Amino acid sequence: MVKEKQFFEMSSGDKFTLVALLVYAVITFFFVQSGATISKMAVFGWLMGVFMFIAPIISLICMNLDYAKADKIKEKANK
Amino acid sequence: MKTIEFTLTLLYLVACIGIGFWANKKVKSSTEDYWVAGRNIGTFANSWAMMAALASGGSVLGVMGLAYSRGIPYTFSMYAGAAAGFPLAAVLVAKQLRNLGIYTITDFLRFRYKNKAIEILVPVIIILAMGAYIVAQMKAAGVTAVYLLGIPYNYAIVVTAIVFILYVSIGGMWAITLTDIVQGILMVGMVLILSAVLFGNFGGITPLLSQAIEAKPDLGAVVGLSTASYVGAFLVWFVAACITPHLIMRVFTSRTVRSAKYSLNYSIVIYAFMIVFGVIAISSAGHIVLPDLQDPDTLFLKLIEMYLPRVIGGFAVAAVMAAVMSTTDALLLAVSSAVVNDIYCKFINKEASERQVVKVSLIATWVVGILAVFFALNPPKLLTMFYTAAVGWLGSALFAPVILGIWWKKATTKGALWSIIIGSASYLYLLWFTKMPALTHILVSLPLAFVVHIAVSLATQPVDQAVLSRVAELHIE
Repeated sequence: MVKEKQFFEMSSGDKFTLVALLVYAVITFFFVQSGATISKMAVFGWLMGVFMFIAPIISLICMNLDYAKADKIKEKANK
Repeated sequence: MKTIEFTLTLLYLVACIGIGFWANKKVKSSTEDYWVAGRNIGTFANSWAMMAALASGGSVLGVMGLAYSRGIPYTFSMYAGAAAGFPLAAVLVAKQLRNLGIYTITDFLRFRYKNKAIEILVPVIIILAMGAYIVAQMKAAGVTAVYLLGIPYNYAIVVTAIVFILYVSIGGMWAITLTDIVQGILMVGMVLILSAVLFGNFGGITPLLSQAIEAKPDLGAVVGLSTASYVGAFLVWFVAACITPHLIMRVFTSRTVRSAKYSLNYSIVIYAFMIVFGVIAISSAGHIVLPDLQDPDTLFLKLIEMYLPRVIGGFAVAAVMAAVMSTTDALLLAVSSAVVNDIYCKFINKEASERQVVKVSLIATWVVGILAVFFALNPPKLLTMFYTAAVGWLGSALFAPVILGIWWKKATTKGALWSIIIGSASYLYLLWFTKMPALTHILVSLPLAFVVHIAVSLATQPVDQAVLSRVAELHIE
């Protein structure tokens, strides 16, 4: 007997985005107590600043890949 | 009275009211138009409107004050939470909530859990938390007017409040969307212009930052606060976009699911430019030229006075007003929809016609607005910390039941109810009765809400299969 899944299915792009956001955040927080600096500012600060740009960019790339895949499947089905 | 600044601000306020009257024709008798702009807003407009709703007075005045007093790394950790939170909302809630075709987050919880206590508790929490947020925004409007227009704080609050209550009450979501686009472009433009001028004056990004850190080493350091405070500041805003009503409303206004998801991400790209360049330029320059500033929330305004010509300074005043109003108008509609859609239509007058509902919404908007003015006359200090605490409370109460309700098939009504009670009560207890470091309360209350939801749900199975089938349909685009 196949056991029913406890969670609803998530697209692979969304899964990747979710994991990427969490992993980046966790890694960045390892630098909170680090004394390392770039241009005299803590590396933690730079990583957080960069996070603001790369979070939506990762999400947009994954979404586009997901939609391209879905559109191809639809196209094939229509043919 | 500063004539140029005053005239430009006046023109801006008149334009907002004009948009409100234009929008009024569209929303007169349709709740769909009043609350969610007919679910017909395209990606470009929604991206700017989302960014404007997020970027409040806190993102223009408060963020600079926060960076000045607590350093750039702490400020970035808080605002990166919001920046990462929007893609998180695109992944976790955008498709499902847009597919459901609802007006408020309470509508989703009603659909998923079907429980009277949840239906009453959630709008009450939303009204209180968002009310605190509105008060903080009004302080920003008052501070701006005092420094740049030279009019008294109390008058400033009353005048700006009348303007945005007027256009929200008569024009609903259509008015908010159109004004937010204008306001968003204005505020991003002004922050980036001031940043460019400051970078130019100090020889570029790195020289400016180096000089500032030499003058004030704490600006670039992780100091003063515990690691938990940094994580807490991040987490509050990371979960906010998924459940904060004035942000999630923009998902409901999107034309399609795709448009909603794209808008969430595009809005953050714009926001990131404004926050990252704005914070580095303005807080750094602040420590060089204004090292002993008493009220850090006024930093942006003081630098405008010092570095921009008066005409551009006039636009900057309008930009700060725009930042305040673009968030406050959305907050006002969120609170009024909680009062009218979630309480009036569900408990007081279940048979209300669309025209009646729109009329009651107009009245509710004025009542909420006037109450907020009353509290704003005795404003809180440190703007950003105050409303972040309110958003943290909302996240502790609603994030677990919304996310588990969408994704976990075993989430039950009792699990959700206890999660909301324990999440919100534990947050308030920790905030008021313990001496935990600033913004760390959510680190306890949010996991607690998840644990309670999961434990109670597992103990109170099964879930109604009809509801689960409908939730499954929401996952199909």
